[in-house]
Amino acid sequence: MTAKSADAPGLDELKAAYLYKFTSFVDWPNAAFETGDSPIVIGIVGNARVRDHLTSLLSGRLAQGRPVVVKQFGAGDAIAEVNVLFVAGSLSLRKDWERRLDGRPVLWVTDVPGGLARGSLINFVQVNHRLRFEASLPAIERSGLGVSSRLLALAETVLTKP
Amino acid sequence: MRVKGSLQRQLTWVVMTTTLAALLLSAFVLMVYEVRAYRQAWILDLSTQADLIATATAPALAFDDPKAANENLALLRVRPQIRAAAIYTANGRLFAGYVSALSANDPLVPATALAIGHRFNGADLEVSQPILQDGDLIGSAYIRAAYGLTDRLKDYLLILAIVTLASLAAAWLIFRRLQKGVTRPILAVAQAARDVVERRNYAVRVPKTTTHEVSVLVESFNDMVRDLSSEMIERRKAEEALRTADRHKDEFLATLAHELRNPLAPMTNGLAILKLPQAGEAAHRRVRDIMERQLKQMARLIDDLLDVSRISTGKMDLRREHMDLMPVLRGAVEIVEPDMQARGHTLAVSLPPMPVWIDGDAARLAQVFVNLLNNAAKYTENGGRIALHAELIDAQVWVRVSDDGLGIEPAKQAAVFEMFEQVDKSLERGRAGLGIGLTLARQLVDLHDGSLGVHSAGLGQGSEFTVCLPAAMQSDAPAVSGPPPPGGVQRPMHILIADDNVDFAATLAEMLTELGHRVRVSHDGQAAYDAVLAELPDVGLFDIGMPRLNGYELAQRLRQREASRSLVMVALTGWGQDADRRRALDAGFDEHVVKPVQPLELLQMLVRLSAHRRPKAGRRQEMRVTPSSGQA
Repeated sequence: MTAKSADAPGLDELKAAYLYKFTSFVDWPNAAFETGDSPIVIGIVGNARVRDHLTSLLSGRLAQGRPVVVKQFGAGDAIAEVNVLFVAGSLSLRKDWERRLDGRPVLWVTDVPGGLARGSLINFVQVNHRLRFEASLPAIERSGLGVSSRLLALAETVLTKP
Repeated sequence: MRVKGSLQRQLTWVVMTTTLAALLLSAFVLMVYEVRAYRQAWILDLSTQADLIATATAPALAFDDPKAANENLALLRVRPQIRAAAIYTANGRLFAGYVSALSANDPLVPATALAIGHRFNGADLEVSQPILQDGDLIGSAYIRAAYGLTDRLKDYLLILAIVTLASLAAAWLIFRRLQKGVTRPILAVAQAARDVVERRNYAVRVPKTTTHEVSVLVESFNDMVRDLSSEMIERRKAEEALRTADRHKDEFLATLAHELRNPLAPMTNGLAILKLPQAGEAAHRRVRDIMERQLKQMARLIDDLLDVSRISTGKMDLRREHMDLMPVLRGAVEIVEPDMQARGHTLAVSLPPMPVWIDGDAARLAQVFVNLLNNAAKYTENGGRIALHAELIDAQVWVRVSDDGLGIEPAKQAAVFEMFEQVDKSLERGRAGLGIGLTLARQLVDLHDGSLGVHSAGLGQGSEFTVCLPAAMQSDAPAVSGPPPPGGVQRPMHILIADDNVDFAATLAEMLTELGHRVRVSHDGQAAYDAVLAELPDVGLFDIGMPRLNGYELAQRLRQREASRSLVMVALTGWGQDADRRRALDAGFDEHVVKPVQPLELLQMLVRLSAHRRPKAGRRQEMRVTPSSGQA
């Protein structure tokens, strides 16, 4: 019905926007933030274009009353003080992500087919040339995050079993 | 019926119109309120709905998921009033749309977003609400719903109409019950008024009521009718009495004319016989007897009439004195005896041996008893038995006159005392009369504080009239006037008669001369005056209406002269009223006698007068109270 036109925003731009919008539908435990006005930190691993789009998108915006900031990480960097982590492309195929992130209140997002199998909470997919996403309830449960059902309702598929 | 219908209809009309107006006004206000409330509620409802949609579709919009948005919108099918809905992106582009199954063919979804707010579009209400995500405007939600006001209003109007009709019906029923308190008395008044006017029914009364003003109306009406009724009854009574009196008067006049004519026929005949040269002395005597009787009859008639007139105008003065009733009764018997003998009746008289004293007018009482005895004689067949009985019982004198004659039916016994009533008007037999004798008798007895009653066992059983008079205390001194000496030898007297009626003077002079008296005659007052002074007579009999010097002046002058101061003077006149009598006595007359006169009675009176005058001149005052017997 609403087919995406050619000059529509690029995938990276959309991913940046979605990453930001996800923050509205996720509840972090209080321990995830140092103070009440500590920023929500979105970490990016790889794909600097997503980081750039996100950075320009975020200028001055708030999410859940908190400022949102972007941090670029290298694939091997210690991932700390991060609330959302986008691991772009095949970087997510590294075996240690699950170990490094498992049980931590981080919204781990990937964008590879079978990303959820790696242990991510949300994985971008493309359906009919549109950017959609899928979600894994077991991963969400393990992370201790609260993800809004309204968001899950939009998910292309919701994985209910590991 | 017309009045009733119109009043009730008018009241019903007023009440129904008022009720309807109130109902319509309240219905209108309710309608306005309802429309406003409905509108507000509908706008609020749709706005809420739009908010819900906005909230629900916000993520879909955020993550550019038209399918999810369409699914969200599709949930609206459970609300068929919502005809269309749509989601627009922040720049107004259509993102997702929904059209209800009923309106599937209508182009109801605007291509671009409408301004935020609500608006009416035909019969539909459109609401546009912003979609916010974390304070960012990310699009707008649009809802279009059938306003449904018309249907709603139709339903509401139907309900109002039903309520109004029911209220009117209830009002009508209540009014029908309540209005009776007002209309019923008014209608009753109207009905009663119509009864009074149309049927002259003054007995109607309107039942009382409780409503104040109406009860005032009802009471006033009743009072009015009561007053009117009593006035009408009085008027009718008065009219009836007038008619009765008028009828009696007519009857009386007819009877009077007849009675006055009756004696004229035999008198005319008598005159004719007297003129006949061949009529002998016996015939002349018979004729004289007849004429005398008829004259007496006429004179009595006229006297009675005058007396009744006096009594009915309250001018009858009794000259009451301490007197013995027995001589009066004996006198009455003497008067009626010739008639009794002529009819062959036996009259039994039983009187007490001693005097019975009463305070009365001897002449009037004589009149009563003569009347009763005459009636007894008249209404008894010839050869009857008549009794006069008197006795004194417990300070009352009872005088009974009884006969064995025609008697009176019990039903008519009270009526015989009424004026102009006669027991049997059809019977002539010489009994005819004016029917005033008993009336007069009863009135005279009443004036004496007595009573006159009648008892008869019935027709053919005879009747008994009873007079009861109160007796007076025994008098120490005998009465001033004793009974007149019975007729018989009389001392010859010198009598002067003055009357301008030559015939009357001549006949009277002749009679007195026949009886052995010396009589002189003058025909005017002056001549009489001269005659008295020329030779003083024992008695002067003077007419009142005379030329040159009338009777009053004559008497006055003679009383002033020494020579004639104690002359016995008697006025002989046709004027019989009390005023005439008083005037005569004031002028100096000793007695006042109304024509025609009975010579014998006149003579008795003259003897009495001159007998008292001779030894004691100047006792005129006492003379005046002496009864003049013979007028009965």
